[in-house]
Amino acid sequence: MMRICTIAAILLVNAIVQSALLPFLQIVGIQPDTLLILTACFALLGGGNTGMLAGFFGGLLQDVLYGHSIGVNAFQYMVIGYLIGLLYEKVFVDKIFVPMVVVFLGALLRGFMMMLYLYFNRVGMPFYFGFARVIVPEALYTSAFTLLIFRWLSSLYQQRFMSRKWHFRRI
Amino acid sequence: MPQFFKRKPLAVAIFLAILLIVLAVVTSGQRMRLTALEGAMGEVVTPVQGFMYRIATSVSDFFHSMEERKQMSARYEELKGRVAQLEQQQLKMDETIKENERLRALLDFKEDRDLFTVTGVRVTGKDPGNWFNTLTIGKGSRDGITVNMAVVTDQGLIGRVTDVGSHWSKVRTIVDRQSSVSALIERTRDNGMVKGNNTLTFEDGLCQMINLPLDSDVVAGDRIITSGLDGIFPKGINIGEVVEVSSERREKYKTAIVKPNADFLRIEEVLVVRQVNE
Repeated sequence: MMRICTIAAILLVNAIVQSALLPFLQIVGIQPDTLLILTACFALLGGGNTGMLAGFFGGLLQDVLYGHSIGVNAFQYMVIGYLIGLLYEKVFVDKIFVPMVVVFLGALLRGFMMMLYLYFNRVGMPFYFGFARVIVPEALYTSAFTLLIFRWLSSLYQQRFMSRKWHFRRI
Repeated sequence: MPQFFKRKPLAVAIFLAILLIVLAVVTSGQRMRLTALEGAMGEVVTPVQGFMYRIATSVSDFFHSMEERKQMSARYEELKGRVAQLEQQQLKMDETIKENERLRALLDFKEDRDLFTVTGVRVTGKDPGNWFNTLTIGKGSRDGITVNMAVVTDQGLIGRVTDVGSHWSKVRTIVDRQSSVSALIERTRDNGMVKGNNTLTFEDGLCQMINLPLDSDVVAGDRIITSGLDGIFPKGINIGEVVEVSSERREKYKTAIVKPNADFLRIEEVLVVRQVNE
């Protein structure tokens, strides 16, 4: 229960920080996608289900607060959370570059999904343009930002209440 | 459900994915009101967000003003000259207005469009992604805001309201890719469409004015205002300035790159206006 509340609180705070503070940290008009970092970290540290649900609820929150049609972000983050969760306990996350690479690839995937969404909504954006001006800079910046967030989250996961296996240790 | 969820995560993922796609399709049209749940979430988040946004803008303004102070004295001299020039123009304009009034009275011409300010409101946040350019503001249907009202600042047009909760609303800015505004060039009276293009250059916030006739003699520096032809934005709101004109021979229209007057990164307060039609 404590674990769920903690994750929910982190997602809520993130939604606010992302829209109120991060626009002022823009570089070349691009800001880091911290929700993607959180989704990836939860998937790597807590498994696919945690990542998937964090992506689902985090994305839903974005959709409701800023988006126009509900479900677009939730879908993308959920898929990414699920896919990254497949790596859970298969990759060695103690080296910081592992989550950084995972986040980078996740950001690329989200970029492509967004291009696809825009295409089906008849918002013309040339592919190379979206790729060079948004997707790649965003993936790089987001991946660099992972440095700050992953360390903090992995130390949070050292806490007992965050461990998923606590109920097996009863008496 | 939790047991099932643990054993068959893929099944749950697929189920949720289908649910979300259906939801996205259902909610993609224009809606006059948000659902109660969406509204309630905004009610909780918007005040906190607005507070954070205010702190962030004031910090950003502080650095911005430090930069400005450096160039102040040069700017002062420049502005002094400009004031003298404007005063002269003002005199001329007063004359013209009076003349205009006289002629209007003579013709019995009815002033048909007038801006009506619904409310002034604080901006509470910006869309967190890099793909869209929307804002949230801290007032909603309780304050008389409805979908499609125009949002402006003293500098010029910001955008239009797309969704309304009871105490908060979402605004699509004119630099968003999905936005388009009927506009005209003040000097040449050429009509066109201002489309958002938030990733046109590295800096956030340039628009594109498309469908300009090929024989238009638009040049950099021309002012762009709304034309009112789209039935959403009232006529005559300042949009911005042309910075570049391109006309490729194989295209049938000219395209101008427009720099909006408003500074989209540092908006704090906006006015929601509607048109009064008699």
